[in-house]
Amino acid sequence: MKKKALVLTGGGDCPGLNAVIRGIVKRAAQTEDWEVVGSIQSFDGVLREPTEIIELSEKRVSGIHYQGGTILGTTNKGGPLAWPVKENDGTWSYIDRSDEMIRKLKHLGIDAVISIGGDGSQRISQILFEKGLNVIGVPKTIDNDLSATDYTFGYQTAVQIATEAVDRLVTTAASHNRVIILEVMGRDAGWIALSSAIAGGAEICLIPEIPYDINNVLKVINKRFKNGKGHVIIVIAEGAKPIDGDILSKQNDEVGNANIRLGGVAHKLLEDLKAAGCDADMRETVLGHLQRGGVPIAFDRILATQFGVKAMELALEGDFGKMVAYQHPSIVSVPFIEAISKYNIIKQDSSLVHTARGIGMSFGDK
Amino acid sequence: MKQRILIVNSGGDCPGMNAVIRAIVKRSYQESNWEIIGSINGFDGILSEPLEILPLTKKQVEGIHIQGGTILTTNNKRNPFNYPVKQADGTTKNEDVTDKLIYNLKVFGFDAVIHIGGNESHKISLKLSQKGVNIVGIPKTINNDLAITDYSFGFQTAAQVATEAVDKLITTARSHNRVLILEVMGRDAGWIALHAAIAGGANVCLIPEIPFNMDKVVKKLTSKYSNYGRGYANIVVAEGAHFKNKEGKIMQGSIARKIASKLKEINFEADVRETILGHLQRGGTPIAFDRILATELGVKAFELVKEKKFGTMAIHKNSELSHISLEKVINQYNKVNLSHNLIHTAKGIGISFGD
Repeated sequence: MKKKALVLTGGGDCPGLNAVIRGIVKRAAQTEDWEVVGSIQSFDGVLREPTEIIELSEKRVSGIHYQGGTILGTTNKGGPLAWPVKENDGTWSYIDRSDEMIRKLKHLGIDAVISIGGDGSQRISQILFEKGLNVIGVPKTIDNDLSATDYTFGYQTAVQIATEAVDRLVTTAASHNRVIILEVMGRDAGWIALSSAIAGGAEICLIPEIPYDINNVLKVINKRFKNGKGHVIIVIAEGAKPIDGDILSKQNDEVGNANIRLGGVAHKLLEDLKAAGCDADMRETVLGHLQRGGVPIAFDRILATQFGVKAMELALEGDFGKMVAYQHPSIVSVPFIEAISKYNIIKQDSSLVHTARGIGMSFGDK
Repeated sequence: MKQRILIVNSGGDCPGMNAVIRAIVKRSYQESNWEIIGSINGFDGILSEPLEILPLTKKQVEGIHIQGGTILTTNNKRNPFNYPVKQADGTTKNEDVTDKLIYNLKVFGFDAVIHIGGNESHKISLKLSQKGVNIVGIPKTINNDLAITDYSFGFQTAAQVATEAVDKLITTARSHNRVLILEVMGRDAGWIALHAAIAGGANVCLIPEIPFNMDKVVKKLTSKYSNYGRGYANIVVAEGAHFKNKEGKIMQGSIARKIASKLKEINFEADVRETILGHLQRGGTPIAFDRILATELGVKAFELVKEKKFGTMAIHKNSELSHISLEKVINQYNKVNLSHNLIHTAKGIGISFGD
């Protein structure tokens, strides 16, 4: 009987997930004795009755590497450690089903689990690994905020999309002498904002790592406008905050979703600028899920394929409890504990910040 | 008096050159005492009479980072050490005009030169530096074949363009049960071919670093077809790839056709078509990755001049900007190492290199 690897995708989707799945399946197809199956919607496919597990043949994954999203579906709610159960009174409680799930995986004849997900998924993987599950991680974050790997797939595609948005906003802002604010993803790390601001040529970039002073932002705008003529592009990460304020968040009312929902900083900034006396026309654009959708650029497809092949090879070698990572120019593996211990946030003395300041970009801090 | 920097770009163009130029100019505006001037068409501008130079103001460079090519135009046939000079009798003879170059730099008040170029350009930079010119280099190669920098701008755009070509060729190959061959740039290094083959999903990838055996290629292609001739296959080949049993020297730019005619010769039953991507790989808007990298290198190069660190090149190494002496740059080619993870990955998903 062939050995079985089970693949699943968890957390928010991002371009390149399908390329990882294809990489895993194609690598397994080079062997005689492994086959790959996929669990629908993260671990839910395993936990549900009847199970939702599909066969992943080479034919099934043919050509999927250039599709965005994930053919397995994903979820950022619940999971084996906090499975939502509706009580009689209509409220929700959460139970730990991890032991049951590990037994079920054994019963299903799964020899290795490859979990593609963000830091939340990697944390779950570490706990499952400690409980004896043969699990391998593949990092996935559109925000590029994992320090164990130089880059995560999906991130460069998001930067490209945000950059093209800046390109478009520049010409309309210049035509109308406007200030246009673009809100992009980035809860704790402003990588997408900073990169697209440099690549697109924004004048102001506001990121979570550098709290801004609204008066400094206004100063830059006023300097760029003469007799009502001029234009300014501001790129703001959803997690950016003013020096004297806090991040803007909404209560999340989705069952089992522990993440707070960010968003609205562009609008808030616009209102704050108005209140501070900015008399230029201002508009806002919130890029939202356009950053997660669509075809991954070549860079991300290649990285994702490398991750997929490496993850399958860790399974072949029986080397579990680790996450694959890119440390230029090599693909390596790092223990989960190491992988989830440190965020990759933008350092003030990094060359990207230096470059941005070097071409006259303002972070609103001075 | 203001300090003046002359920007010279030479060699083939590549997406991101304008972003470099813009960054140098924008960085200089953060200081009070600098003037940036561009030499038109490589070294021609500073050598011609009258000079063909372009003052690069902030206004002049606004928005150019989005444009491909170079606003200064470029030339890959202008080496000041071996420069075509019109003689009295109307013929041209190549001469060493570096003394004139140095004279012009001095007379027109240039304090330093920033030279954006590839391997050959940096050899020129080094020799000029040894003759006393204050020069700083910026690496430029679409082929990613410089060993001293982790990435060079333009390459990711070229890989992206080539990948999108593979995407398109796959759907037409599948519809017609054809073998489609895509020839991409890469004389000595197969990076573009390798990236496009993995990202696009080709079945065969042929690169200069791995001489290929036609029988192995045919075997792979045959495995993609059923007994009824149904199936399709895609080949990505670098222009510098060559057969293992060297049958004479293969001419550049003809390898795709050569493979196609070989397949016809042996009566390979599927239709075969070839596409040569050519200068589409050099044209157009740089992707974000390259714009960022180019901007970083431009800022760094200006700062190297400001700090008087001449005879060096701005590079991107281990995720940070740094610089390296020009002497260490020369002849450090970055070819695809057979133990590179990308080769491993490609083989891992079943791509054949014909070896």
